[in-house]
Amino acid sequence: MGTNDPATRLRLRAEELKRFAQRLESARITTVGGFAGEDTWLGAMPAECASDLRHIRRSVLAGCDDLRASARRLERAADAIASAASTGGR
Amino acid sequence: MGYLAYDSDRLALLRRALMDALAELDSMSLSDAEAADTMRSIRATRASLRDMWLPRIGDVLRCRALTGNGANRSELHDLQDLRNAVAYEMAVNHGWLLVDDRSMLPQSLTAGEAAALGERLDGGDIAALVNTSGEREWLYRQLRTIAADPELTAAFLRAFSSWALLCNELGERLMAAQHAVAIEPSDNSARVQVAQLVADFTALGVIFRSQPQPAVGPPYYGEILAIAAMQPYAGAMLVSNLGLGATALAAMTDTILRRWRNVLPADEGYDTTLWRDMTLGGPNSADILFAALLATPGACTEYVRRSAGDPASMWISTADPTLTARVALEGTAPANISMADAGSVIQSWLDYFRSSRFAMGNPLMDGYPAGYRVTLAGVVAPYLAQFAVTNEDWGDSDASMEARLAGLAFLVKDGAALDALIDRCRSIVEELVAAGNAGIGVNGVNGVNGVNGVNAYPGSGDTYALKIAADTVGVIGQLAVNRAVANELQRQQLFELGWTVATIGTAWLSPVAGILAGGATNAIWTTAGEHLAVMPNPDEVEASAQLSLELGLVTILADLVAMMWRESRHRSPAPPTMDPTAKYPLNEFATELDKWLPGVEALRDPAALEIAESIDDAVSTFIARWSIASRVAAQN
Repeated sequence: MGTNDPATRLRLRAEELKRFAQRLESARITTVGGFAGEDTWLGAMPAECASDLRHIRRSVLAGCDDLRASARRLERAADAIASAASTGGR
Repeated sequence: MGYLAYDSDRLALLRRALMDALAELDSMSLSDAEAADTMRSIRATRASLRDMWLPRIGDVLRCRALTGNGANRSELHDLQDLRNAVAYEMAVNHGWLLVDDRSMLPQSLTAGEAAALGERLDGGDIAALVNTSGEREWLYRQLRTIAADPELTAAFLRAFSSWALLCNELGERLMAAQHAVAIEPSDNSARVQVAQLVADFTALGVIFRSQPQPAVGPPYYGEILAIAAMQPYAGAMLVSNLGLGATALAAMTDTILRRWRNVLPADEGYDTTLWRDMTLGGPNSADILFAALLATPGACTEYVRRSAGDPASMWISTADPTLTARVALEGTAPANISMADAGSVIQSWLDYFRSSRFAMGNPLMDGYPAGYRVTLAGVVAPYLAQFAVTNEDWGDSDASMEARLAGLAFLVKDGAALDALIDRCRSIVEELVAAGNAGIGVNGVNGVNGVNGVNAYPGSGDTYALKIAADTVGVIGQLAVNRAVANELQRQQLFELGWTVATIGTAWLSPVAGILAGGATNAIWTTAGEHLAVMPNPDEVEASAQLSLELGLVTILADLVAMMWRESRHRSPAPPTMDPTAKYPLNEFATELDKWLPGVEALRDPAALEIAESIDDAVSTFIARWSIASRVAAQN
């Protein structure tokens, strides 16, 4: 089965999405908020910064979940294509 | 002032971490369509780090600290504020540094950059430029910096002219954010957005008014042209930040609100195209402008003068009716407006409510904000004497008097409004009593003596006091008549007030008697006191408070005439007396006066004749006006 096969292409895309999600999940942006707490600075702007970084972290992690969900969807589609091909081949 | 306290080493570490995170995000890319949303989120995050947090932290680290080596601690203020106290504690005991929040403004904007921003805002897609919170924050900081520097402002203005586009876009976003706060007051994100956008308009106001004024043409012509091209809400936001004087602000408010309201039904059918701020929560165009009027000395009066031509803009525009009430009361306060202008403004408002198609005759559901009649009563109260049947300050024609009385009749259909006016009557009467007791006469009485110290009763001598007494008694009687005395407590209150005024009126008439005999005053006081000590019971005399008031007034007049005549040492003709059983005591007394006058003339005593005629004139005027008032009351 070559890479031009539709099911294979979908699985490759799914793999790439999962790899990207894993990389993003471990990116510095998800931990940088730890430097922005009250042991670093105090005041209205620091509070806003900490809040914004928490919001960014949640958005990034939600994006990772979305990527994995998309990957699963692509894998199921690939499975369906493969299953149809094998059934049709009998 | 707020302080920002920081550990410089750790803040530098945060900056380094953010730079690394940004570099890492910059290196991450995925073109798969399934990742489009995630990539959009990553781009927004990059913008937030690059345009907002890294510059901000850099500013803090570059800023001259108020504490630390070489710092001037005497610049510290407001340390009793808990947040500042904690910050200060960290500075003193933990080696942190403090900076003034205001120093967080960007310091390095050049004229070229200001011009570049102007060009970008002038020609670009403004919506896209303020799409993310990071972009909005950036714009907010840039505009504040430009507004604070005349050179940057000039550079910006050379490149920018699309005021309507920019203000409309910011206005749309502000409306949406205000609406979000109105729906969910704890939505801090929306609150921050509101604060930023309001600050944008503040900065734009400063920049806008820095534009050179044309050497020719009417004042503010440029502003009117620019604002006419804006949505009313955006125009209202900009105008409220221009720092205009009273006249200009009132003119702009009038222009914007008329345009805003003209989208409403021109004739009968409603137009479905409403301005957005008419339907969203939060302050609308009128709320914004009225708040600005209230903050500008003299502006409320300038505006209410203009509102006489379009009362609806004044009365049914704001989402917050308390703003309307405050503008109405401030604008028509006697200290702020001339007697003539007060008359035309108040009459226009009363006519509007009486004739408007929203007025359904039911005070509980007539289409206007609840309590507007009480507000109007508050407006009318200082001018109550001008509603008296004998008062001509606001016009001496029967038609103008009828219009006034019809307005009053409409107003006092609301029991709370009538209560407010009765309260005003009470305070007027208390002033009258105090003035009488102090022997200062009526000139010192505010309630019945015109406005701003201007005598509303030109003339002097014998008829002067009688006019005041008649006006005051008359307006109290009007309230009773117009209310049809439906409320027993109010009827009793009005009657008692009228009786008190009648009593005081007797005292003021004493100079009349004094013309005939210097020693008459004390005798009149004594006699009147004896006579009036027994106040007739209104239930037994007449069912109408009006007639009871008439009875009181006629009693005084009759008693006075008798006293004067006795002091004049004339024995005949015998002066008329009051008939307590008369159905119309005032009319019958007047008839008797007419019969008596020829006998006085025959005496050939000029002083006696003068007094008799002045009393006869006043009573005749009072009766004529009262009959019109009664007819108006019956029609309303």
